[in-house]
Amino acid sequence: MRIVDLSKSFGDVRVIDHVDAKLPERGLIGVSGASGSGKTTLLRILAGLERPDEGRVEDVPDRFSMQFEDDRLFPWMDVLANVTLVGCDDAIALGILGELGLADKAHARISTLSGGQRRRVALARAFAFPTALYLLDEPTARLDEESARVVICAVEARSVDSLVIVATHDQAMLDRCAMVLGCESR
Amino acid sequence: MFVVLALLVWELVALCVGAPYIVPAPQDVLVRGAELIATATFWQAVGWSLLRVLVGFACGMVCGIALAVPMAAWPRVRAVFAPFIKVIRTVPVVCFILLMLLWVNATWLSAIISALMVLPVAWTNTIEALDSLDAGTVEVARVFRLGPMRRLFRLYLPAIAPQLLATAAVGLGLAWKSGITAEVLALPVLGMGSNIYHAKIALEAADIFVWAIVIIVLSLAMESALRACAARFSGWEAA
Repeated sequence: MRIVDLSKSFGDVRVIDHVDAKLPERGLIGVSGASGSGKTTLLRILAGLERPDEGRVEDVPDRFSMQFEDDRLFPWMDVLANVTLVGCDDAIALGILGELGLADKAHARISTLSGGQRRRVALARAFAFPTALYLLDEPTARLDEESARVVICAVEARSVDSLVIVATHDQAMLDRCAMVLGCESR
Repeated sequence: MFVVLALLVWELVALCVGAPYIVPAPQDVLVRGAELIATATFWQAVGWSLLRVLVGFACGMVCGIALAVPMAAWPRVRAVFAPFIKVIRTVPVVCFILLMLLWVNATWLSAIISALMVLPVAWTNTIEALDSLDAGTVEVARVFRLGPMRRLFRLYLPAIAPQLLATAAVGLGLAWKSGITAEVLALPVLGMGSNIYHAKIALEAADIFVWAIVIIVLSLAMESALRACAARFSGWEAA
């Protein structure tokens, strides 16, 4: 996967400025930068949800998974149904929820979860959609230290066989990345 | 308070007019209502009208939603079929009733008319709700490559459920009004509309008042139930 001379502006603010990068087939890649620096925009461009003003992204896998910046969970389904929405069976979803410390929340309503629990359910849904590319936007946001550690382990585990691109402020997560792309808006 | 005031005004008007066959007093209507309720034909008429209105309402809602879904998804389909729905919406109900009288049996005519009145409302509101669907929900469906049925039944329709229930409450009122009007003109063997017509011919104003009150009570009760359901689903956005 290659990012070629990518630029994107919102009004007068240039959030991505001529970014070039060659990304490996697997591994953990970080996208760092202050709030509003374009991390989410970069992930959205990689996902094809946003068009760049200039440049292009080459060789993006057809099928990829994403954890959005906002959780985008659906209150008319319980936790398990939110995860199996992507097409996996219950056993796989329950395994992922267990891995992220949410085994006892499988049948909970979304409205009863804390912010950190919702974040992990959104991550579980992304993991339940097996692909060669995971785009994760702030997976450790709103998490306590222990939950963040669990999430970092789970993310690292996926990066063994897949390319995982993580937009994050979390230094512990960035320390584990093989490559970090810096974002800075102007 | 409103009810007491309305009854006082009614009593006053009945006294001033002094002709029970034109404006009956509230107590006359009450007595006549008690007499009618005790008869089997009253309940048969209520049952048949209720059945026709509910069948028409359900058909109108289902068809309206079913037509709106492909039209929201494919602009070309919308361009072809939208004018037909707009025509149905603008044609006066009495034109439909008189035309249908030539084509269909009086027994089910009011159900067809109710459906025709509910359909454009259901279609319009569903298509507007789908058009304004949260972009985030659509992106989730796109990223996770959800099939059309999964998108529709697990994401989109639940997401617009509050609007659909509010639409159903409006549609139910329309179904009652148009359905009873159709019965008055079509005169099925059993039906509240037929009884209203016969009461008018016999100058039995008290009967007309009784039937009107029954219709209002039934319509309001069903609409309140739907609005209560709609209130439960308010604030039902993706979290």
